[in-house]
Amino acid sequence: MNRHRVRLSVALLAVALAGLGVFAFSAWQDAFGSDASVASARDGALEAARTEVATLASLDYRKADANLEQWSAVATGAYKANLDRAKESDANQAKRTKSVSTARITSAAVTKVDVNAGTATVILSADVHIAANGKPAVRRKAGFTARMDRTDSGWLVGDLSSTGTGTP
Amino acid sequence: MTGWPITLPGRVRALPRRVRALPGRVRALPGKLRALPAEQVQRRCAVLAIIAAVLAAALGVTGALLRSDNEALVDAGKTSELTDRLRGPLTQVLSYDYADLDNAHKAARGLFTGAAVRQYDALFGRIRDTAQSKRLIVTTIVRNLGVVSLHGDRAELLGLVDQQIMSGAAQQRSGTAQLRLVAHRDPGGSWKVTELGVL
Repeated sequence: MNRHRVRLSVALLAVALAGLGVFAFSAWQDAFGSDASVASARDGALEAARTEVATLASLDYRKADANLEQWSAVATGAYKANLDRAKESDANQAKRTKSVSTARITSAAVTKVDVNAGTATVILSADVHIAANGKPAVRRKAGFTARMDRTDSGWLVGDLSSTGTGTP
Repeated sequence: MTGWPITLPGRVRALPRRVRALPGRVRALPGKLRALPAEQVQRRCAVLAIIAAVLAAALGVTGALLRSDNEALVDAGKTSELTDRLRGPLTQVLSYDYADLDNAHKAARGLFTGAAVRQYDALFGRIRDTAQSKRLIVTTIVRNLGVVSLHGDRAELLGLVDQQIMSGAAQQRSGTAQLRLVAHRDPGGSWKVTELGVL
């Protein structure tokens, strides 16, 4: 009788240890598996795109030089080089038209993510307030497609196109 | 041990020897278990089992907290199935030809359910009503459709659409719109749009 109960309790302990093993494996998968890396790339690119595209769609002629520095800081690659090249003419145009545009992202979604290449495509919708030459601001809706690149300084905008009428 | 700058406690110094002795101890375990009183073996097993259960629960909770609930792109098949399913009908319901309004109507009946039916009518009813008299042809391209979130049978999407409106023979306007969609998968497995709004 006693032998029997000992065997039973050893067997139950073995079952408990096996359960622990399964849980440990699945917790490891959840935290570090390939699904988790897709999720973290997706969320990282999305979060960065929301703030960075808002930056790139906003420009205040009274602080144009500082704004254009911010544009450059959130961009990377050939797109950054293009922005840097156009910096002076962009600043001059903003000052000439006395334009102030402020963008607020209303929704965003990642449509593509490549964890190995470190790239993602994010689409965004924005409300853009545009005031020029002292006239009252108009509100425009805009859509954006941003290619995001993972760099040493985080996810940055590698290319940006506007599908809306809202960008100045 | 003369070269060591500090003196290790006896238990630590004995460790290598104890590790070497481990295989022998494991082999001796069944014998030792038999020699122990049954109650003691049971008690030890129970304590170990409880520790294992607590560890498993802690790991399970940690895993659940670390896991992202949003299945968008993580479940690549489900994500593309959802956008593929909605893209075609969405293009159809947002496109009008005054000569063939039934096409958009039929597509709308298949795509929308619940609040979306009313929201669709409110957004596009006017275009539909004037389509015939103004001879409107609205061509829509769903340029991008992205999944904001995907949880089980519920999804939220963002759509960027381009529209071209031809009125009469030559007049042409074009515009873009950003749409917010909520979709539910019915028990039959097909996705229906339950909410529709212009952002």
